Amino acid sequence: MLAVLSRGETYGYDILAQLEDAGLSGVGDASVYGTLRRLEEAGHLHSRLATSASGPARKYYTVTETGRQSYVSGADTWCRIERAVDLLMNGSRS
Amino acid sequence: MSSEQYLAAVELHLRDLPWRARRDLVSDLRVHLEEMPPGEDLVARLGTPEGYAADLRGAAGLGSPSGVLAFLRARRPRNLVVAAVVVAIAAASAAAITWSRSYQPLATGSVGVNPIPSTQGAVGETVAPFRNREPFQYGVSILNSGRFPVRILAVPIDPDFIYPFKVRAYVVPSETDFTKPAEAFHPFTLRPGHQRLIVLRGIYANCDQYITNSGVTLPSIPVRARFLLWTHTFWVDLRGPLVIRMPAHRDPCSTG
Repeated sequence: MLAVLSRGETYGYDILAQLEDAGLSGVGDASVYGTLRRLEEAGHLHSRLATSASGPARKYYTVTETGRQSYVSGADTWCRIERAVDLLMNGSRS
Repeated sequence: MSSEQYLAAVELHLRDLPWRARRDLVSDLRVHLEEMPPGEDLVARLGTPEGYAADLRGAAGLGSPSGVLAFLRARRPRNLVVAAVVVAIAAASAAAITWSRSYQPLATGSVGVNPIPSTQGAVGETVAPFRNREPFQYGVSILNSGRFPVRILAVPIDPDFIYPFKVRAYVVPSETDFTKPAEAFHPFTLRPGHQRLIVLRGIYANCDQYITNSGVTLPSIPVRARFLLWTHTFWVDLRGPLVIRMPAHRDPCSTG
């Protein structure tokens, strides 16, 4: 979620579409909205309501500085796990 | 299932969450449903409303709050304020009614007129002999011992009650000079700390109801009065009980 949002301000339905485009089609809609709320409550996201000419008023989210630090830390952890799994599976350091 | 039905069903399954969190989650879902292509099978896409609510709850880390505090937090703040105001008004009304029912602003004053003839009994009572068809008069002053003006409306001697007399009420038109002639009773306002003399005039009667050598004791008289918003019948104690005593050795219904 933070990876998607770190690309720029966006809204829930678009986040879902980006996750699906990236191949994460199994992520439930409710999980995305629940997670958005949890991240916002934790101070990792900031939201604003913006009216749309063609549809309903959307809630746009941006990553806060705290959220950015959490994303960097999480991404680093993920990369280390990925390297470790790759090492275990392929038997060599990349 | 329509969008509104789906939305209502999800909200129902989130009803224990704090009102603000529930409002935000339902608002997100409403927008989400509006973004979806028309005619899409909501249950096929999103799962059952119960499952959707459970996923939302889990992903948002909201759990299943319980207890009195959680119950109050799940209510809309505006509704809580309205409920509190309604409860406060009801409590104040109940307290006011209870107070008004227990409030007794009328007391016996310092002035009285005893029947003639009459004697003072051993325990403070006034004893008058029953004299069939002879004039009867008894006076008692009523004092406003409360903090509010009281409107004296009537002295409702119940004609169906078996009194040993038939009387009408009169009132002396002064709060200071009780020797003035009494007038037929009319409503008047009694200010705090003031008293007026009420006189009951009529004849001794109803002798058939009493047996020889018996007595009838009257401890108080009814006074219909209004103060503030309430009207009550107060029973004002006499200075001492009034005892009408039947003759000892004569037919009580014979004159004299």
